Amino acid sequence: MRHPGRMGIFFVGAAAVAALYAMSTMRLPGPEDLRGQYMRIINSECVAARHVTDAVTAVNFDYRGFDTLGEEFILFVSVMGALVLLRQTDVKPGTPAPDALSPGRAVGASDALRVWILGMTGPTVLFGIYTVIHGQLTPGGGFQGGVILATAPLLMYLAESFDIFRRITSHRLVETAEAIGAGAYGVIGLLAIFKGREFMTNVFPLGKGGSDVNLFSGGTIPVINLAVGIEVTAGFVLLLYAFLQEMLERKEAAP
Amino acid sequence: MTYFYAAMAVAAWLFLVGAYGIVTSRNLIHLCLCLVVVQASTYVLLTAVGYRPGGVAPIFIDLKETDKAVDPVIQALMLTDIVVEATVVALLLAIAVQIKKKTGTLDPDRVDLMHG
Amino acid sequence: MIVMQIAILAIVAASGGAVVFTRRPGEQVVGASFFGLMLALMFFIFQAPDVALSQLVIGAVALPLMVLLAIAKTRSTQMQQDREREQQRNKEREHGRGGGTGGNFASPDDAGAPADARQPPGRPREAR
Repeated sequence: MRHPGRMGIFFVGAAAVAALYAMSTMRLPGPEDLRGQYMRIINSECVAARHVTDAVTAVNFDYRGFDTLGEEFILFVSVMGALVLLRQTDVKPGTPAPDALSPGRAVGASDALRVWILGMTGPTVLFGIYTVIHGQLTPGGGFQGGVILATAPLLMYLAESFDIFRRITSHRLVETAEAIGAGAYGVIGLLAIFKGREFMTNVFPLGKGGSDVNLFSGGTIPVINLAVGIEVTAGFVLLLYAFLQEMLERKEAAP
Repeated sequence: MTYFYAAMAVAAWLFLVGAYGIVTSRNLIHLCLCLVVVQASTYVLLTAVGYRPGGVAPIFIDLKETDKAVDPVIQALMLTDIVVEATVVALLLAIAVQIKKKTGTLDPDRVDLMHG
Repeated sequence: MIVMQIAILAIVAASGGAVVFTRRPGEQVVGASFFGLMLALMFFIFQAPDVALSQLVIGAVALPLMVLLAIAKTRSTQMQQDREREQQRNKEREHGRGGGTGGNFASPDDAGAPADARQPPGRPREAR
């Protein structure tokens, strides 16, 4: 260790944090008393007032929709940052492929593995779409389903080659989807302002409620959910593409 | 009740061990994963705060007694953060890759950013 | 129920420690993936299915994958830098032999400067 003082500082700091944390935890009221009024209201109101059965999605995309807008822009910006950093700055054509990942097929997949993976791709896409669009009814939603969807092109990469991965995730389309997903959220929030309400108010017709809620119940919630799903899918596909890109270009340059 | 203090202790342990990993790390990629552990400590804490004994998930599709459900607000907090965390870690990894390219090392003690 | 809760918290604590104390990133990724799965299980036991689903996909797939790709990328960078350094060294050696006088002094710090070694990439010998 080059800085011997560092460990001393760390242990003093850590001991102080641990002591303060222990003291504050001891003073906390027990979990029975921690129940907030906010939670009670949301739990009893969200089915009747928003026609939505998943309270977590209702909080995310409606009651606290403004916070999620911020989170989504964090996601957008960090994806952009990673893309900028991983952009090819010094590609030297003709540099042979270093065998960090073996060139040719991804991990030397056998035919049995390839058939199995190809068979799993369809269900993965289907499950991803299901998770996104049922966000306001059952556990799931744009954030979770988006990541599931983004793994589907990756399965194609594992089974076949990067070429197919690239053809599926045609770069410009994904970038456009990313922008549309991020923008649509803000635009839906702005619609309320044109109707003379506060930003992010749920202004769409709520659809069927009660015991026959369906995919279109919830007003703006399913729409925002879909926008977030598109955004997350595109963001993760772009990230994976950026991390895989260099390997590909080396591979293409090699004979 | 016991679960509450157990979860508090686990949260503290994850935070401190993750911070120890960050301080002593000799590899920037290792450091990113230590950061993931530190973030997990907040999830453990929030889960324990939002849960209550005998509670059920706040999905009311076939649940009529709304006062039995656990806190959905805190779950919403964690849900978005988990996905955002992954992209932020991706950004950090991209920075690590770039540092490797510029300075030829991943050891934070040997990275001399002024000459990068 | 309480037994399951305490057990999963203990597993989360132990695997979190394992992630930190595994020093080599390549091995650490496996631990991190397991850690992510256990966190997802913890969310599930504590009645947070939405969060569990999110953590399941992120912790078990997206995060380990990106870390693995970053490792692969730094490793290929390392290979390229090694090769360029070797070329630089070879070139300096040839230069010293051609110059005649003081061949031994031609490369005083050939092990030293990796950062500057990148400038003249030249043509890799293996490329042919």
